[in-house]
Amino acid sequence: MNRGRVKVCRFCEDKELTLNYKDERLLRRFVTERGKIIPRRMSGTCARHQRRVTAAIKLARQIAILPFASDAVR
Amino acid sequence: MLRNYEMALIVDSQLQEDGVEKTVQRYRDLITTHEGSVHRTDTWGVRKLAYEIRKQQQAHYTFVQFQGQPATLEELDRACRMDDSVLRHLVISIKELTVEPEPEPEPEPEEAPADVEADAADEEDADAEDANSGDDSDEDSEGSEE
Repeated sequence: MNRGRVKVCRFCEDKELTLNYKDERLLRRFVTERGKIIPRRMSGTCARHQRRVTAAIKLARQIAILPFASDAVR
Repeated sequence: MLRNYEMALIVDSQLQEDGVEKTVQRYRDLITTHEGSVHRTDTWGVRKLAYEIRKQQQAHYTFVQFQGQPATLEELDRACRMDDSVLRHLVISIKELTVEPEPEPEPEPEEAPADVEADAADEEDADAEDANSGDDSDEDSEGSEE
């Protein structure tokens, strides 16, 4: 999906950008519209930061900030 | 040894307004009676849930940062699970407590939104404003791509 341009990890690029499980707006960029976590081959996130993104998303899901799945059917 | 934690409390918003407050206060008291101290309380207010919890579409979010004994967590967990007014709770340990005073500006990174696929643009990357704060922070389908 995010084809075309190869990006650098946005967290490496911007050291100020901190990852927080409460930051829905940021995390939304790392899940598909169905709620799946976007693999790093697509998002361009580096390994270290992808792990953190994943952890944050999973926390956010637990407290219903992000969906576990779907949301599309409605 | 005291550690730093953050507890997310998701309280049923169907309670009367002070019901929510009382519930939150109850957990704050629980922390303090276990040799802990509440550092700050972040209230998001009623927010739309990403998925239904007990048939509720929305709930009241509160985040409590505190210092406490690791043993307190079990207590909190037990209390939350027995408490019908708490829809969800989550305690995580944090490295350090947030220093700044109570009203926390939500970090909002600005960057050109990677507005990919124009087809399924509903609600996904309509990262206009919402996010938190207000009561009805729902993301709507009018995807503002481009």
